[in-house]
This record gives sequence, C-alpha cells and structure tokens, in this order.
Amino acid sequence: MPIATALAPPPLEIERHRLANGLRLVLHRDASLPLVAINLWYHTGSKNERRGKTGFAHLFEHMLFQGSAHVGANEHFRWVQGVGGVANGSTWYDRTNYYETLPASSLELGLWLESDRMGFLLPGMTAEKLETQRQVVMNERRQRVDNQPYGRAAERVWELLFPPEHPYSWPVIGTMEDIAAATLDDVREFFSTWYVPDNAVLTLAGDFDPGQAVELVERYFGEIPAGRGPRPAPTASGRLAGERFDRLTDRVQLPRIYLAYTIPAYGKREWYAADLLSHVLAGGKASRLHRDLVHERELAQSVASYALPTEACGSFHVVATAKPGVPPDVLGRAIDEHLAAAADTPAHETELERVRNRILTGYFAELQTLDRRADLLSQLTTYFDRPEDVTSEIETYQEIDAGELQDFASRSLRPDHRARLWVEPAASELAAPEPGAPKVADPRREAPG
Amino acid sequence: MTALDRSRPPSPLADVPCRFPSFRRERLAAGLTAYVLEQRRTPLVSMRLSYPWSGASDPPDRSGLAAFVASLLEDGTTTRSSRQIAEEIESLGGSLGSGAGWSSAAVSARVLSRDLDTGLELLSDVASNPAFAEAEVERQRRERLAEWLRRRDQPGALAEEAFSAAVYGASPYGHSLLGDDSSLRAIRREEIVRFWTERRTARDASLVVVGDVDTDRMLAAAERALAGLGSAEPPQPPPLVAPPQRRRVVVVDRPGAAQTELRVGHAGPPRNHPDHTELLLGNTILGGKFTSRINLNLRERHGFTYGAHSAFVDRRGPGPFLVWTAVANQAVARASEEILAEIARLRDEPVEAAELEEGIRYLRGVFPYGLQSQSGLLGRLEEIAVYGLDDDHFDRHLEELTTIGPGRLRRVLREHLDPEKATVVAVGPAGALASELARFGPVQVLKSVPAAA
Repeated sequence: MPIATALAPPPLEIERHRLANGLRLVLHRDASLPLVAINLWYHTGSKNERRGKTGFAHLFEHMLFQGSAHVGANEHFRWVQGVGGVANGSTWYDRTNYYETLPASSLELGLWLESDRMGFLLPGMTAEKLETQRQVVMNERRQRVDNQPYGRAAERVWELLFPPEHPYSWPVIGTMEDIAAATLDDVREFFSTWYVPDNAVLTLAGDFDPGQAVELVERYFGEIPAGRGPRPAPTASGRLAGERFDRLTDRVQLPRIYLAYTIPAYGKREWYAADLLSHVLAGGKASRLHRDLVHERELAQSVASYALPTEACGSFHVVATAKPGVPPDVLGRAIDEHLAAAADTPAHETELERVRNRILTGYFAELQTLDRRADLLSQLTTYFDRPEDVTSEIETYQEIDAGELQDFASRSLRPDHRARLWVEPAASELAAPEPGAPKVADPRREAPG
Repeated sequence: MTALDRSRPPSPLADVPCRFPSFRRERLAAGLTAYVLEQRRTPLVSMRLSYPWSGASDPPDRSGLAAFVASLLEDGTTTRSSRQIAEEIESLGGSLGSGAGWSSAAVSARVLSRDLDTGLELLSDVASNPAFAEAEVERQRRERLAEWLRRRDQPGALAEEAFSAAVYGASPYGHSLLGDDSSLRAIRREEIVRFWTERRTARDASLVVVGDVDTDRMLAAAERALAGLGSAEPPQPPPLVAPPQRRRVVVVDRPGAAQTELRVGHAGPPRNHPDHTELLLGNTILGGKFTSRINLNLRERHGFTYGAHSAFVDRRGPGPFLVWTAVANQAVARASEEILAEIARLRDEPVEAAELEEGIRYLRGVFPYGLQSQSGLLGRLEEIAVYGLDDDHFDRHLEELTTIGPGRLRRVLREHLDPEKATVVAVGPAGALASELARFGPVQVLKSVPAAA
C-alpha cells in the first residue's frame, strides 16, 4: 500500500492583543456553531508551592468557584449552566486553567464572571467555604489517589525522579496533612501574588465579532491592576545521578512497573522527538511494546508510554502492567531490551510514518472542539508567547527523523539515570486460582518464579 | 462609555436556535440501514457498523460471550491476521476497534478522509469475515481473565457489578458485560463460532458515517463493501424485563479502603420511552449537572464527596436509573439518606418555576456543545439508529423541552422514580457499613476478592 504523503493542517485564524495591565488576549474566530469558548490560564501551579504547603494551588482553584465580590457562592456554575454552558478548571505543575464554553450570546456573561474573580475575589472568601472545599478536596484525593489501585504510584515516581526541593517532586493534589493545614491567609497571599492580569492569558474561540470582543475584554479586565509580572520557571533538574528504585505493595492483583526519565523541556525539539518515540514504543497495537509484550510474548496486560509537557524540564514515562504470574523483573528486562534497541538502531521509516500519521489524526480530532483549541492556544501563549505554534508543532513532528529519535533515546533513556518503581500485590490481596483451572500463562514464556 | 456595573450579570444577546444537522438515511441492498452525515470541517471520517446483539444476548451460563465475540472481530479475518489489521489501519494514522455494549455490538473506525476507501474496506472485512483463530481466541481469553482479575481492585467496577446483580438478578442485565472468571473459562470456541454464525446478517444492522465525505459516493462505497453480509433472520433477542424492584442494601467489603463507592437506584425505562425528554429534564435537576440538587447537597453543603451524579442510563430495555458517588467512610449512611431524600423530594414535590427553567435552558444550551466533534455527532446518530428513534428526534426533543411544566414533570417522575424500591450498594470497609446501613433495608455483605486458598 502506498504510504500517504504528509497532509498540512490548515492554519487557524489568530489575532493577538495585550492590555495595558499586561493581560494577553488571543482571539480565534470560528462561527461553525453558535458557541464561544472562554479560556483563562494563570501561569502558576504546584511549582509555586513549597514543602509543607503542597496542594495549595489546587485547593485555591476550588476556591475560585466559591464566589467573588459580585458573584455568590456556587453562582459561577449556576450562571454558566443557567444559559446552557459548561465550565471547569484544572491545576497542573506549571499552570492553572479556568474555562467555560457558552452559547455565543453569553460571551459577556463569561467575561463578567472571569473578570470578577480575577479582580474582586477576596470579598467572597470565608473560612466556612475554605472548610467545605478542604473536605471536597480530601475526598477528591481519596477518589483519585488513595482509593484507586496503583493510586500512590505516580506520586512515588515523581518523588524518585526529582530532588526533594524541586517543586515537581510533590503531587499537584498535595498531601492530606498540607491540605488540612491551609488557611485563609494562604488564600489571600496566593491570590495577590499569582492571580494578576500580567500573569494570565485569555483566549476566546468561537462565534464572535473580534472588534467587539476586544472592547468587551478591555471593559471587564482593563481596570484590574497589574501585578509583578511573569516569574521565571523553576530551574531544570538535571538527570538523576544513578537509578533510583523502589517497591510498593498495594491492594492490586497484577504487578505494575513504572519507568521515568527527565528529558528536555516541553517546546524543545528533543521533547517532540521524545513524544514521537513514545508512540513508536506504545502508541497503538502496531507499536513495538504492544506487539511484543502484550500480543506476542504476553508478558504484559497493558502498556503505555508518554512524554509530559512540563516547563522546567519534561519527563518520559513507560508504564506496564504484568500478566498474571509474570514477575516484574521479567517484564522489566523485556522493556529494557526495547529501550536499548531504540538507542542502538534507528526506527524504520514505516514506523515513523505510522506515528506521524497518528499524531496528525490525533491533532485533527483534538482540535475539533473549541474548548481544546482555546486551551492549546492559551498553553502555547503562556509558555512560549507563540499561539501560532498551534500549527508549527505539527510541522515539527513531521520533520523529525529517525536519527533524532535515536539520539534522544541514547542520550536520555539510560537505565543508569532513571526512576524505577514496582507496585506489587500485598500477599493477602491475591485471588485464589480456581482449582483445576487452566494456567493463564503463555507456555512460550520462561517459567515464572 | 458608561461606568461598568458589575453588580449584576450582563443580559445575553438573542439566542441562535440550534438544529441537529441534516443527514441521509438509506436502506442498502444488503439489508442494513446507512446513516451519513457530511461534516467537512475536519479532514477525518468516523464510521461505526452496529449489530443489534449485545451483552443482553449472553446465554445464562455464558456471561461475557457477546463481548468476547465482539472483541474477537478485530483479532483476525479469513484473509488478514490481527497484526495485519493493526498495521494496515495504524500505518494511516487511523484506528479501528470492536466491542459490545448493552444495546449493540459494533466495529468502529476513524481515518483521514483521504484514506476512506481503505478504512471502509477494513471495517467491512472485520465486521463480516472474522476467523476466530484458535490462538486468537485463547489469547483473548487470557486477556479477559486478567481484566476480570484487574477489576477486583477497582472499587467503581465492583460497585457497578454488585448493583447490576442486585437490581437485575437473573434477567439479561444482571451480569457483567465482561463475564466472570468461571464463564470466561467455560466458553468454548465452537460456542463463539455458533453465536457469531447465527448473527452474521445485515438485517437490523446499521452503518453510521460522519465526516468529510460525499454522501452519494459514501453510500455507493458502503453498498459495495457490505454486499456480502447476508440478510438472514437473526435469533430473537431475549425479552428485556427487569424483575420486581425492592429496597435492599448490598455491602461489598474492602477492609481498610480510604473511601466508599456508593450507588443508589433501580431499574428504569428503555431509551425509546415516550417520557424520555421529561426524564432527562428531571435528572438534570436531580443529578445531571454540577448545580443539580444531589451535587450541591453532598458536595457543596456537606463536603461528603468530590462529586455526585445521577442518570437514566440509555438501553434498549429497562436500563438503570442510578446515583453514583464516592464518599468519606464516616459519611456513607448520611449520604445515602440525603440521596434517598432528594429522590423522594423530586418525586413528591413540584419543582419551582426558576429551577425548571434553568434545567430547560441548560439542556437546550449544551446541545450544540455535543455537536462539535465527529464523535459527538456519531454518538447522536447512533442513538437514532440503535434505539429506532425518528430522524427528527433531536429537533423535536429540543422543542418539547420548552413545553414541560411542573405538573407534567411531576406526573412523569412519580411514574419512574421510587426511593422505596432503590437498591443501595456500598463498596468499602464492611464492618461499620453493614450496621449503619441496616436502617435502609435488608443487608447482604459480599467479599471483594475471592478468598485465598
């Protein structure tokens, strides 16, 4: 079959503005549906916390839905959903975002809500609201982390990968202890330091008149005073001096292996090479790890690999869940063979073509919705001040060649500079095999210990 | 410019009414019905071929058979190995997958529109000519057994299984779609082949296509690609009836769990019930959005949970009405009480005009949000195809919403909601839970993991 030629993504129409107070505004007009996405990024996240105060950026995100000077408690959602809109927010190491997609007729409502909490938040804050959100967040942590199989593993991996003083070493959601200790004074301080127009990017995407939109944004956000401007990102942490290995036991049936490496920051050409390589390794059923470990040798029930787009430096991950009866060291050795092969020999051109096409299809699929488009524009503006990279990122993926992938693998994916974690079943958690049941193991595999 | 008054929200401009985009429905010569919706903003095409059999077709002692068969469709055809299928579709950046739900079994594919022909050819091959090679069957069996094992660790999956078993008993929705350890071991290859052979027919099947295609060309290509499917009469599906509902409590023991997964509900009406629009509105008020009653009560008033939701789940037969949440262990009894009280309040007290209006505006307003992507449109068209809805179903639904008053809403909800018949499932540390929940009904305690030998 002929290998398809590269298809260029159509450029997105983008307009940029900057208010006197430093707020950056990105406009992207698309009138296909009568909707508008409003997306606001604050360049702050758990990277701006310190040990003893972890989880605060995220708890603070919850408080931003608790009302401000002119918006009552829970009225943010009430106003948005009352016109048929959707809204949410999320917190990450480097940033916190807030977004709503509304009927196009309610653009001004969204700007009223977002500007009220950027400019006039503190009158809405009370100790009682903080207490309720503390309980909500503790339950969020239980739901996402403490009551999930393998739930604590990700935290442990990041702890192994970064030195204890690096802000990526603690989890975005924070520890129960620190969540319990957060005070209203912390809320005030965090707000006045980070929630300022010159530390934010506002993107509007959808069906609106750009001239009118700029006027409205000026009207609602223009009077909010500037802060101290953007701050430098935390410094990159070099690669680990050795391999850091740990084992956890958990309420699980199947062992799971986590490998993690620090890599160049999101935005560097090498980061995109890493992302491509993660697809070569585990993107789809035709990928190397899936075909060999899941399908052929049946050492793994599932396998995943990804590069995370963090700012100080990136990180590269491989996660594999063992098939019943497969010890983690057997699975681990098989993964290492593939990582070594990626460093030793260049990827085949057909493999590269496959992952380039996969990324292209994923790009088109993702950018179908206004909220994802707006979020990506805010992301590129926040980190690089380059919203137009929304299409040039795809070009970078198409340009990178097999040699660059190999260089990346041999430089960054070294077994002597990585974090490695095993999560193993606690002995009491194992389900008993049914008497006389056929062995689940593949006969071709070496006998498990 | 006048000074900005922030004390009240700006008034919205006039709304643009939204309609479901037009599409073409055509019966193909092979006997299946094709639905094609042109959406040319994105150079992709998304397709799904659906059969009317589903997890509800599983024989009583062979739970998981339909899903097993459906997953095997993509694991090799008479002319392509599973590996060839994966390589052919993925080399184009496309994806293809097969599986069964509770109302249909389907093969789905997505490709760049320039690769439509290859995508359609692979989709039809997988949907028409599966080989069920011995090695693939055994591989798939091992994978499903491991998946079953993995679900023993997942509190949400355990809650879902216990809820289905309690609410539906021996009726078709009472087992797990995946099956269980013993049924998965018992299913023989001949049973797989027989199940498929009896159901290999275009009769009652549908092909839904959304994307960057030309409708006439698409229909002609589908006509050619699916001609070999045959049009035999498929076996009658089992009657979809739920057993009588009664109040009860099921506790699945997870000693030392950090939180408790909670489900409260009972069997509800099928998707194509004429009250669907009223039920959707009632659910929006109860637990269908952030500002619904259950979430504001459990999360924002009490801080018991990170979130609480409810739904009337879409099925061909009596799908569940349920509330789902995960709550702090010490709050399980109070949360259950609040949930049952909220269901009773919605059933017994009229909804105030403002709250009703808010629900209607929400449902109408978010409708276009779900039409942005091809997968969103495909899901909507699939609803029409699988549940046998009228072509103008969604436009009529949006229209009908504006005519619902508190009286009609209450009449409908009284018929479909009944807290006295709700099952309460709690997956958490059984010790305290069993006694605390006893006041809600007779308690059954289950173990989450089979006892070690």
